[in-house]
Amino acid sequence: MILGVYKMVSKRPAYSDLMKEIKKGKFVLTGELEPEKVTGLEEILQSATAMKPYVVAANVTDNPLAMAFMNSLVPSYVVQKEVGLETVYQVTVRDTTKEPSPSTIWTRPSSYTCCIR
Amino acid sequence: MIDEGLDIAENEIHGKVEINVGIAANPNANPLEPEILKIGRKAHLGADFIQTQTMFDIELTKHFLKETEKYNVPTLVGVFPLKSYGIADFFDKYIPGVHVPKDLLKAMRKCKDEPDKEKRKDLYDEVNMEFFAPFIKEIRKTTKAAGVHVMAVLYERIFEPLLAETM
Repeated sequence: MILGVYKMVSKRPAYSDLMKEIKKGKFVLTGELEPEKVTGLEEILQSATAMKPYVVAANVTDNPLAMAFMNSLVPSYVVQKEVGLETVYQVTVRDTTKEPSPSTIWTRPSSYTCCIR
Repeated sequence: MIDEGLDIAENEIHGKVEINVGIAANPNANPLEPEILKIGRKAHLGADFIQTQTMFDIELTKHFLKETEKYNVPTLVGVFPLKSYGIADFFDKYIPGVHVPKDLLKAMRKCKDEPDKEKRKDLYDEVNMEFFAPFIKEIRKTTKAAGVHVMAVLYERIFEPLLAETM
């Protein structure tokens, strides 16, 4: 691959609300939800409800700083389903190998956005 | 590849994989050039948007946005309102490449000494608003960034004043 000037190749349609807003040229605001070392989702649901009126979507982090926290898949799904706030399901490539990483991607929590770190 | 319904070994995926793919970027990287090249490669592979690591330096943000402009990928600039002095201090010390400006850190340190919990909260909010409202306004007005990514984890109360001030 030649390093240098690339043209943006992504001709993917906007599936997510976040992408739709970006394509409309709106200045968007996204939030962040961090499932920590917990076994319940109460805190994150509260947090999501609180930020819902202000943001387009919220990232759900996946083991930030390589600290073993709750995986982002379940909170992403539950937040979307129960709170109705779109989530950006983060996948930390560092923590997956080549094989599971695609499988994590297509079990995405119907969010249509996926942020690969 | 996934868009065409194939996996990495070109096996068929059943069903549609309709996702938009975002990538992370770290404008605090030093040196910055390899980071820009990496973003270029990811853009070439079909990234839909970029989210950056938390930024405190407006000049660096502008420089980064200018460097990545050629890839034409919408960028969300990461900002991190600081909930408490402890968090600010932790970020300054332990997150690679992230330096909380000294003045901001000092202002946060001052708030920490307020004994009344409610008052302390208000003071923290004030300091954050003073720093981040102009920061976001500047990004909005002078750069081509598509938005901001506000990493206010468990600090949702800052959204309302921040939005009122900047949008």
